[in-house]
Amino acid sequence: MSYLKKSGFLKHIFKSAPLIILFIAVLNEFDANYFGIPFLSVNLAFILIFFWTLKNIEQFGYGYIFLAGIINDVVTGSPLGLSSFLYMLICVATAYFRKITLRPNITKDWLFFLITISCVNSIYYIISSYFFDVSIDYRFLLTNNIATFLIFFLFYIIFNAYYKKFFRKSDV
Amino acid sequence: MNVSRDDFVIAIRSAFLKKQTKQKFSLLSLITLSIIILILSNFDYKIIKTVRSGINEIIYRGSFVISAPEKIVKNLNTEIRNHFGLYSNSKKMEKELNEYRSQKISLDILKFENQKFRQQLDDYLISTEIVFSKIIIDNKSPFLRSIVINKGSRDGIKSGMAVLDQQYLVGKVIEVNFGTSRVLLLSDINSNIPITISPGNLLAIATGTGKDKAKVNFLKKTHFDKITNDSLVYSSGTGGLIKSGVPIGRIINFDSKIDEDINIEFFSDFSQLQYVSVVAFDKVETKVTEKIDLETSETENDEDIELPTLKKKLDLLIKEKEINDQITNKIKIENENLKSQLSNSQIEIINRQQIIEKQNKIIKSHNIDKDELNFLRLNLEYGERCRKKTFSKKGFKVGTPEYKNCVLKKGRL
Repeated sequence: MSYLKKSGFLKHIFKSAPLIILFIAVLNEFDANYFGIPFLSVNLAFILIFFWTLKNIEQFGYGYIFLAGIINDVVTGSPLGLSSFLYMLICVATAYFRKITLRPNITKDWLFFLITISCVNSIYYIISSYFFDVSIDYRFLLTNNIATFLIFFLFYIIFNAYYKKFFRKSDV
Repeated sequence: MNVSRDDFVIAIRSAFLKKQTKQKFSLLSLITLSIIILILSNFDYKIIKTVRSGINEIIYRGSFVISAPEKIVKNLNTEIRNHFGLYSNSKKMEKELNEYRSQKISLDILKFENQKFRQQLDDYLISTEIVFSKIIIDNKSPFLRSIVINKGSRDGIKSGMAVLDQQYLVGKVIEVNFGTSRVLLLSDINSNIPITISPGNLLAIATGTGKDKAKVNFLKKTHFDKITNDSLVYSSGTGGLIKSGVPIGRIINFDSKIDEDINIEFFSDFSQLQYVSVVAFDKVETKVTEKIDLETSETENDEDIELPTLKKKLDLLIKEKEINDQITNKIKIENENLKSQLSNSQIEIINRQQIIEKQNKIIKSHNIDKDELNFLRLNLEYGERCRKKTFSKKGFKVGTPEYKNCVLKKGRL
């Protein structure tokens, strides 16, 4: 472990890991639905963007998130720019939340995450259905919203541990 | 109140406009850019199309590479499952194969008949252009069911072309890039395909549900009783993009008295797609050409036109004869089996009759023994009374029927 800490390249890799996971998630269209359970799907990109922009680390830039959105649109076949727009809205929400929060804790973050993704998914539904005439089953969206919200707690613990391990205050 | 409102405005303004620590772009500029892209991507300008196509190409390839490990794991999982179910699968497939073999010949005959009827109706023939392609991205988005194939405009793919898995319809091309294309699967909620439900030849629209099935729309409830489970669903050919008669799936779990929705189970398993064929159906008018042919060379060409048709017909008739022969042989074998079964059962009946006779005899002898025993018992008791004595005239000689009668009458002379 001390070797890892000393190695500059590995340190950089560990710090960029959240961004790498985000790009893998959007390129792979990861929805965690390998068990074929109806309606169950998780939006990993939302969790990653929310958590890491809330922590405001250097490696997780808005430009990269914008690019990830474009990639997500191409892979899923959604109107180009839509995911970028939604991801940017999450970034706005986290920036605002960061500004108004003095003592962050998991419960507040979790509830604010629910409000944010609910708003973002609603905007997604409205834009897709009314502006682009793409039909979306709102039940899928709702279940996705709930599943993403529930799983966020688990990811929060993991990411928080990772954050404490590999990031210092100087990175923020 | 004013203070909290001011705080909110300040926080929002800061979130939108200020570049955060070490951020290169402000959120407002990126949001504006994404809105511009959203609007521009809807215009059909050539330059936008080219740029979009270029982005798609790069990202599709990237996604293909990134998805490779996941695909390997998935394939491994499928292979392991297949390996364990190999024997049962092989037995099942052997059975299916035998059924299909016999069905294929009948199908050939029907196909020939169908062609003949089409020609009689003066309809058009359909020429097809087939492009085989590999699926490079098949990730199922919860909101959009689509796949990306490795053939694009350079291979002659056009938007709207039908996509088949073997002979089953799986979707249609909705986006064409230079070397890749996106196919919207029939299971997608945005997919609407005109269909025919057979038997009954009912016309309707199959709409995707976002799951692994589709549902039937635009069909009057009065026709519901004509539909049964396992009714077949084909493309109707309405609209001219897809020819009629391409198999799609079958109706499942439907009860005309209870159900409101009619569900279609696809013949093809969309999660197992690896290669597909993209097909273009073109209408070719045959009416004029046929007429010209008939006018110009009535006598000479008649034989040329008729010969292949007759040959085909002859082939089919030979095949039909083969089927009939096979059926006859089967019936003969069955007859022989029945005969042998009959003779066996006759022998069995005779054997049983003999057994019954034997048993009857035993019963009879048993009855006789019973009478004898009764006589002996009475003889012991009343024999003295019935026996002829030296100095008496009464009584009978032992062993005579009279003596026996006397004993049975309990010594009454």
